[in-house]
Amino acid sequence: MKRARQKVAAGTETPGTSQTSKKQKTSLHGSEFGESDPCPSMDWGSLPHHVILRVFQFLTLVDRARASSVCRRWNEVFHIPDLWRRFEFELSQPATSYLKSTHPDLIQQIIKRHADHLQYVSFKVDSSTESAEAACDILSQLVNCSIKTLGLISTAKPSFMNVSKAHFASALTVVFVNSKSLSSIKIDDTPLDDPSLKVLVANNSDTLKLLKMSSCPHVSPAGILCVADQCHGLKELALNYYILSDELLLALSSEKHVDLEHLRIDVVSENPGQVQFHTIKKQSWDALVKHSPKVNIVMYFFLYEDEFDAFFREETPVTHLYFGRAVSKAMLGRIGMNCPRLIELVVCANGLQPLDDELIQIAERCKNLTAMGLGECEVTCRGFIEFVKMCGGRLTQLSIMEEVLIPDSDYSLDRLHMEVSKHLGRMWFPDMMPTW
Amino acid sequence: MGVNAVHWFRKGLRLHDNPALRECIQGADTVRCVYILDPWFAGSSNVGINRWRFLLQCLEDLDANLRKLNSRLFVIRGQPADVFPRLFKEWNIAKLSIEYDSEPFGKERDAAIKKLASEAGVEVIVRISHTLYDLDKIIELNGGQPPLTYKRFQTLISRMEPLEMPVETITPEVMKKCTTPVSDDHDEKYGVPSLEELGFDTDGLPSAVWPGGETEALTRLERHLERKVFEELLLDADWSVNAGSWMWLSCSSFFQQFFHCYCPVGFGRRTDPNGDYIRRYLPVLRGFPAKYIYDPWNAPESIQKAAKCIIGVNYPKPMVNHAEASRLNIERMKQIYQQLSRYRGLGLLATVPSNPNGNGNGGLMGYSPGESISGCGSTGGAQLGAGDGHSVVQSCALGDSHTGTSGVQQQGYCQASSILHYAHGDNQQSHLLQAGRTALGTGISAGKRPNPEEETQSVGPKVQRQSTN
Repeated sequence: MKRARQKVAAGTETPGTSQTSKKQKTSLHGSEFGESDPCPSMDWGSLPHHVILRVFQFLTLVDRARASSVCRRWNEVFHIPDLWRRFEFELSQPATSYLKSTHPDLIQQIIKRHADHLQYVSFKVDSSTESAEAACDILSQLVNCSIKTLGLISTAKPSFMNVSKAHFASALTVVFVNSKSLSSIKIDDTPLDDPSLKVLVANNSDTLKLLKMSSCPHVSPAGILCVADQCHGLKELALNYYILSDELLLALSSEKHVDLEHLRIDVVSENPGQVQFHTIKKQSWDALVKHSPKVNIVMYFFLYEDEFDAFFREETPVTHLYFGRAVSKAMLGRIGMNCPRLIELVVCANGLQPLDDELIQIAERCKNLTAMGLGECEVTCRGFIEFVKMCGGRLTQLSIMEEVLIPDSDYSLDRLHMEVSKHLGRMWFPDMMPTW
Repeated sequence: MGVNAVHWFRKGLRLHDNPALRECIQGADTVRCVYILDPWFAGSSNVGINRWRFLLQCLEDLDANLRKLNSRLFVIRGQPADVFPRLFKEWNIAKLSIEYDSEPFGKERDAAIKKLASEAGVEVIVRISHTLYDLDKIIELNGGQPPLTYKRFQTLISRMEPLEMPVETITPEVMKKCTTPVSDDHDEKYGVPSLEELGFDTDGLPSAVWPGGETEALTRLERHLERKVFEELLLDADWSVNAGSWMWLSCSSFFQQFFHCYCPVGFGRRTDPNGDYIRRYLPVLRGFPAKYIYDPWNAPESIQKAAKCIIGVNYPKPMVNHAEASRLNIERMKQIYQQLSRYRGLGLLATVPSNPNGNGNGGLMGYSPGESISGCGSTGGAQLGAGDGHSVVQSCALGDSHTGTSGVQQQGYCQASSILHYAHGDNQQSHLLQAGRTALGTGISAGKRPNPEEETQSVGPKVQRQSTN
């Protein structure tokens, strides 16, 4: 830097300025003052591209966009593909949503200049159908891209479900066919269907690792089976129970298939008593666990109390159980009997019969249990303390609504919290609901 | 020239158990009890006529009881910040007393008035009588945080000094030499207004089931203690309890466990299997058998006909499919909490932030909806919401996903299982992006240096991790 200054100062090209200091000051802005600048490297605008890129990577899009208006070089850097790998399109209708929306001009710009660069793309839409349709329109234009990650996210009501199947499918097809290297797809609550899955598989079977498609009612067991058969790298899968089949589990356990790491299953009731749930054979579960010994199987139940009959009649390798509505006492008993791999159990509601026996059996047989949540059920204080004593410090999460605990002749609530704290090795209180 | 005092009534509209008023009178030569009626509130449509009537009845009762003490209530229209400087001058006030108000609005208002008082050389007396305990003391005793469970609260108050008895009721003896200058035109200038004067239409208004006023209240209290009947009305709602309940239920303020979703069908069935409560308060549904009284929309047509109540005609259909709605909601809550807690594991309970003792009672980091949380821990990430008011918190997926050192428990057989989630985090809403800003390849976090091995690549860490696995 110093050397350059001296060089400029020594030059005689600028008339009328005999003072060295003035030259030194103006040298950095040579071009502005009409003086020829023998050292262009002095200019902020002449920093090497990769340096500007590095700086830009610390900026938000808005700041980068502003910076890009400074000079041509900075503008070039702004459009370097590296800065356009990830994008989340936020689409909402201002009249009905408080959520921010990506500016339509920006969307146009991205489609025009950067569609090819996008690799990690998500669409966040509000409850309106227009937003979901806009997302599909954008998807349809991502023709030359090689997307690795795709996420369709509804922030409230699943508005993608209101888009016509044809429109949705054609939008997806564009991405599925053109990307050829899709790795993660999150596409819950959409009108995804079997033909689209076939297209996905035909083009991305080597690269697909994650597929989350819970609550996609148009997919059939055959549709997902096709994915499992062809996509041997699949490590994470989220789906609904009705498309889970023995064949699927066996396909995921085939020799060619990598270890499955995470299987999430939603069990949702359509109408009470109108849906019979099929059972999965024990051999199928066994095959899965044999193939992928560390697999986590997460099941979320949203059923009425009398719909649980088909579940956990035999040993089932589930690790995380969540009951979003009531669950029967009998079911909790079966869980204690048949779920040795259980790690977390969350019960939203049960009933007015104490669950002491069930809990104690769970403590005995579910040796991996580390997290438990209970709401709207009943457990005597004595039974609960017994349970905690048996589990001991391995219970790192224990969330029990205060009303669940029934004081008895042995324990009051005060004594209970002290006993439990003792056995857990930390201060513990039940959860409380504020009264009003 | 004596000492002229003012007691400013806001909430504690009573002469018994009123330590601020009691102290105000002590050593004062004159006292005036004022109530300031902000005309804005009268026009505000949120407050209904019943509540206004209740308030006016309370004020009338105060006035009547003060008359027995040769005093009167002074109802003044306006806003306190305008009214008080005028009164301080006009009445030559030396003392002002108030009952402590802990609500946010109240605290702000009182701070302003205290300032005006000090400018006018007026001494301000504040006493606690709206709550049993001094809230600040409780918070202090709890290490600077309000207790979040009743049990905790009880533990704290057991350590405090026992409560004092309420101060004596203001009687002529208590008043002693203290007088109230009442002018002839008091009723015109300072009288309690009527509902009509406030702009309400009282045509056809039935008489009050629960009249307002200290006298009425004390009578009711006696009867209540006699009968031990539990009365539920929200004529005198308490801001904190009400706000707390809503915030708890919506999980917006405390980081409570959110797995507990109330199902009106299930809850009723468990607690009142026959549906007596429904039958009592919804006679239209009386004809349904216990099996269907909680979800009459699921009853076969024959049953609905027999009950003389067709759902959709005589009684509305349900607004939501509860199973669907609760499924969606749990996912949304989980997404939000995962952003805040940076938890990437599979456990549902552990997603609640700041949950070191595994209680789910954790989360003393309350926040108001609409405020963005600045940074999830150490990874600054790109700016969060930077003043946009956007409440989505940016994910720290880039920063923390590759750390096994996040300190957060990874539950599950396979410790690495969470990493391969969808690159933007299992927190599907999260992102390094907001309002269309692009996330940055590497080096995005101001605070935390990414792993050197990942610096050279511009792809997301999830995919990277996979390759280095």
